[in-house]
Amino acid sequence: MAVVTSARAVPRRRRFDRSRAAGVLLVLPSLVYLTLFVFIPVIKAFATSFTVRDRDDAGNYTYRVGLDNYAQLATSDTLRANVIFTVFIAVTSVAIVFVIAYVIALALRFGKGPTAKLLGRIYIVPLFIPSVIASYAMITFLANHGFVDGILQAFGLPDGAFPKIVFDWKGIVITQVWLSLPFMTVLLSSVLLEISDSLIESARDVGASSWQIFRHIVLPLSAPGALIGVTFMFLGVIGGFTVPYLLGPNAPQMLGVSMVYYMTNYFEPYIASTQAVAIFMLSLVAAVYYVRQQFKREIR
Amino acid sequence: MAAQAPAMPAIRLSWWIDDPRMRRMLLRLFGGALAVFIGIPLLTLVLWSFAGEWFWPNLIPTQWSLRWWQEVLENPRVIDAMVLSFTIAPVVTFLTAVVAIPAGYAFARLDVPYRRTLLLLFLIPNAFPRIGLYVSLAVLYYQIGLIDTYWGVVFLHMIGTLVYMTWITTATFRSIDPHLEEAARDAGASPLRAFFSVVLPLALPGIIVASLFSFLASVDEAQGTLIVGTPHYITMPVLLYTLISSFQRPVAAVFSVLLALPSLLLLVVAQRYLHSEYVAAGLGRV
Repeated sequence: MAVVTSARAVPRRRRFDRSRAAGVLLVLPSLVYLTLFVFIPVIKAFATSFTVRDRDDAGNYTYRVGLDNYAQLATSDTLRANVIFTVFIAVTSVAIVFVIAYVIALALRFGKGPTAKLLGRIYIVPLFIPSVIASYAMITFLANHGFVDGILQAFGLPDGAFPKIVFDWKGIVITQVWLSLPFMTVLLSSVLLEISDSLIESARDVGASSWQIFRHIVLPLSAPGALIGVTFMFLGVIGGFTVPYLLGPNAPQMLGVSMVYYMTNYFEPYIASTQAVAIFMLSLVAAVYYVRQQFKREIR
Repeated sequence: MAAQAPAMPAIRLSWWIDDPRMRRMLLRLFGGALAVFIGIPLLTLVLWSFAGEWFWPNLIPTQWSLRWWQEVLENPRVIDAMVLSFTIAPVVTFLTAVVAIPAGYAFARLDVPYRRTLLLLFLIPNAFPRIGLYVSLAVLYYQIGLIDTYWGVVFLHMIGTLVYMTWITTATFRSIDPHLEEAARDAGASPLRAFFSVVLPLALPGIIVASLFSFLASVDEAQGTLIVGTPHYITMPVLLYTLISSFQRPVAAVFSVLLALPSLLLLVVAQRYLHSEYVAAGLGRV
């Protein structure tokens, strides 16, 4: 307000300052929210992971700073197996989704006719299905004595010969693929749309085959954008809970599941926080890449 | 480019891609397989919800019945969960809109100091694996007494919706011609008046879509609510966890269909906007 009455202020400059002040004011609430509910919890999780709780003979707890939680994560066979299992599931599901989504995106970009249209209508459906429902649908579909098992019986598969998919790593991967297909496809489609038709036509004019065009033009040009989708999905799978909780085996568990068990069942917030930090670290490279690339896209 | 590549392997790899007829056939096969893979699991759920009797390995129920629907809709736990879900979601959406729309406007139009750094901060929540974030938040909630409270659940739901709505509104405001606002200001309108009578109506479609997705994201959020809301704040998807684990197949199937309805309704409504990339990011279900 003082600025408005000041005679020295140049009008242009004054508007500039007010715009800055208004900008700060408008962004502030969301910044406060993010600080309280995202940044502080993450920083606290780091701090908690270095806190060790000891219980003396009288049953009193004492707290100290130490690396014991990490030592437990590294030396406990169960926890180490969980870390490896988590990475394995994430890498496998991302790889499968990437290939299927790429084929759909190629068909949507270059294909004409009824099949391409049908693909465009169906691939999006899982986006609108909550992951709890998707997991349950997959259980009824793939379980022993489930729908697929029933069909195979009709073709003469002996009872009990159906492989164990549900409550096994295969169930997690298949359901993750089902759930993540729309996002990856939408992203790859938008990346493929950025490749101009004229580039492809000129390659065709000099006699390149479809495979050569794909291999030497489409694939390299779509790689940077595609990597955003890959990293984002990797972060999603590695930080997932619902699918492995409902469809995963009891051991090994994905970190999301084991973390929640440590938190709510064993009431071990220290080990739970340590696993949270482990998950952040496992995804650090993907996270940094995702933020950097997405930032470049948004700023552009 | 092809000259340096050895000719034989290239041909072997690609003969089926280069032959248009072969390519069409493969695409059809692929499309059919995909339709089965995506559609049939959902269809089995719907069948289960109407099954009076379904002995394996019959491929369809041997007896049809609505009694599971009746049972679910008369169950007080189900009613409580529905009421809770639909009282949390509007609050989450409203609070998100109140906080995110101003920020989106500021990012799109105003000269915010440290704009780039701030935008970067808004991307970071997406870069943390969600369950890690939720467990960290739960540890904090225990210490400050927000665990198992209504507002604890609301604030948790806002993590996903806030970031999403800020990005969408930023993009929406940016797509509106700034001259319109300037013209209104030149004609003597106050900044607030120019915003509410010129910019906001133009941005409304984008804001409505973002709000719908926020609403749905809140209704569908399960894992975070399970951690911070049990045992007193059981929303619909959290109740579904229990129903699935208790192996009451038809009951869980009815409830799944019920819970999927709002989203599927939106699928029909939002068809127009589906090609936009942000729809996918919006549900945060990846």
